[in-house]
Amino acid sequence: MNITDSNNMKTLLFALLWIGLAGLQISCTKDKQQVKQYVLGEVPAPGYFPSKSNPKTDLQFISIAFSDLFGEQISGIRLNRLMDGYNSLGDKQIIIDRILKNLLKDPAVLKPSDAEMRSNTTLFVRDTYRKFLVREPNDSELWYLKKVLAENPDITTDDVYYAFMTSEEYKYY
Amino acid sequence: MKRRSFIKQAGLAAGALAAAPWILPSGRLFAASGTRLVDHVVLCMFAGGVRNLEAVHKSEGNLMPGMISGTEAITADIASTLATLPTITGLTLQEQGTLFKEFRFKQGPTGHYHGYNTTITGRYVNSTLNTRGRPEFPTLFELYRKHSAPEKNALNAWLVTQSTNLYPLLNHSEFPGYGAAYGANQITPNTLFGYNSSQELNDMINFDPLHEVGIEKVKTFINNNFNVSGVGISPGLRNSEADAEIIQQFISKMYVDMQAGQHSNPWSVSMNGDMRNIFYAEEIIKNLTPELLVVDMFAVDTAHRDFTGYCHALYKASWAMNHLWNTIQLTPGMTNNTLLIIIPEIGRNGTGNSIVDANNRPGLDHSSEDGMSRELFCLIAGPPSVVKQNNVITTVEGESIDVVPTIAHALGFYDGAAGMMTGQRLMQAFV
Repeated sequence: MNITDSNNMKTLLFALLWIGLAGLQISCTKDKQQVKQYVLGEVPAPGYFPSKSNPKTDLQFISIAFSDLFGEQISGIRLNRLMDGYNSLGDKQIIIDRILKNLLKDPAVLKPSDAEMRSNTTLFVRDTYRKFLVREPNDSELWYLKKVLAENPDITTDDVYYAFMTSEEYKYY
Repeated sequence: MKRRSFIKQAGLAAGALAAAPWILPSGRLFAASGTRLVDHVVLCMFAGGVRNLEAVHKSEGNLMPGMISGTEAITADIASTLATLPTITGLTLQEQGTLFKEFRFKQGPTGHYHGYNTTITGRYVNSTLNTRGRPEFPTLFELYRKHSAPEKNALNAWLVTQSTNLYPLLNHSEFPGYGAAYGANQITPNTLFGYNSSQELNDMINFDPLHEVGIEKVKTFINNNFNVSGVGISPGLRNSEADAEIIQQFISKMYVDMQAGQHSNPWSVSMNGDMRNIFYAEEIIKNLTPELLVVDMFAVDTAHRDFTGYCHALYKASWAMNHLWNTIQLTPGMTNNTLLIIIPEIGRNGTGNSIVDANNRPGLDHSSEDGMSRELFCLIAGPPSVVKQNNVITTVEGESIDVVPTIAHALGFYDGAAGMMTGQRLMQAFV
């Protein structure tokens, strides 16, 4: 646990203690005969917002995207081919979109099948965060992504991978 | 909102906005803006350093029959290896516009990037110009997009470059208040639609439209959890989602055409890189009808070591210009509603270098101290109601920095951008 997390936890415990004491006082006022005992349980610290600040260079972005999808380093020839396309259009969003959609179509992409994803969405969400954003999801992220998967039974692994790789956070390290 | 429905609704909204008058805070309908002479301008940076001697003074005969009037025979040694191109029929571009035969690039180093930069920004540069950086001052594209009323989207402004080296940087400056937000869509089609890129960009996964809501939910959630404030990097040029989809469809169409063999030799002539760049510019014109398009050519720069090849490249470049003009006239919305401005970025030296070609002709460099490297021509073709036809100006008039204000005048944003321009409008060309 780092200093920030520790401070967060202290703040949280203090807040819960204050709420607890306040509640005790109210209940005592209402019914002095009744004694209630409050116990502070373990509450996870709220999730942090990632603050990666270094934008990937064009070369880094393409190299990392390739490694993330295929589990191996991109060859120089392949990188040059991709960079040719990348450098040919001013709107990088458009060209990145095409590059990613082409890479994702490759059957050699290392990914769980849709059935495997559905069989253990917790594992899938955790693995996907580690794979693309190089971190663990916090509890709210894990909860929300599992909820989206549950509410959208047609969403595929490719859909989720595409969403992660076109996110803002993926452009930074 | 699903992407398709979004695009549809965005299109309807855009149409409604276009049809409705613009009500300004002042209470006036329509913003104060100069009257447009035309709705489209195509500017060609021609074509890698051209000497007036061969171009408009025809010292080797008329090497540019697609553009320049005259039947002067081409010198025998040059003509003997000249590619056969279909004869130009109909009027030359000179006959359909105004030719400034003694235009000038008055200041700054006579390098390609310096000349190009000067024409695109309407400001001279000096030797301190960072040739690996963006222009110091707003480009033509930024002035057009920002000072048109209403402001124009990037889909209306294109920079079509022969090379991915340096010139793509000219689609916008980093000037405060302008920059990427007002830049042009830059494209290097010879590379984008070349073999390498087609192998990597053409076979895309197709997402089920029904999944798009879910994809967007995931992406939006990740983005909302990511704090990039304070990073302070420019996102670069970005189109709206609807416009980006139009560009994606255009690129996909080009790959389909390419796979169908339609790009292998679309003009049925021996095409060089210049001609191919013009061909792709024509595809952008036909499919997207932009209001402002800049396209470049560079093959004549072979003059450094191959004078004969330089003359051949001039011949092809002029033929391509004629083809471009014809395409413009066949494109709905652009017919009789377009200016085509053709100008070399720099000239070439009066004296040859020590490299001789197969015909024992010396090569031509372009040095700042050689006055002939500053001598240019400028041809403005346009509708007879707008541009003086078959009008040749033989005195020294006009300079590189005048192109931007002239385009601003034609597209009706001169008044708004006047404070950002240093040149003069070439009023001699207009009716």
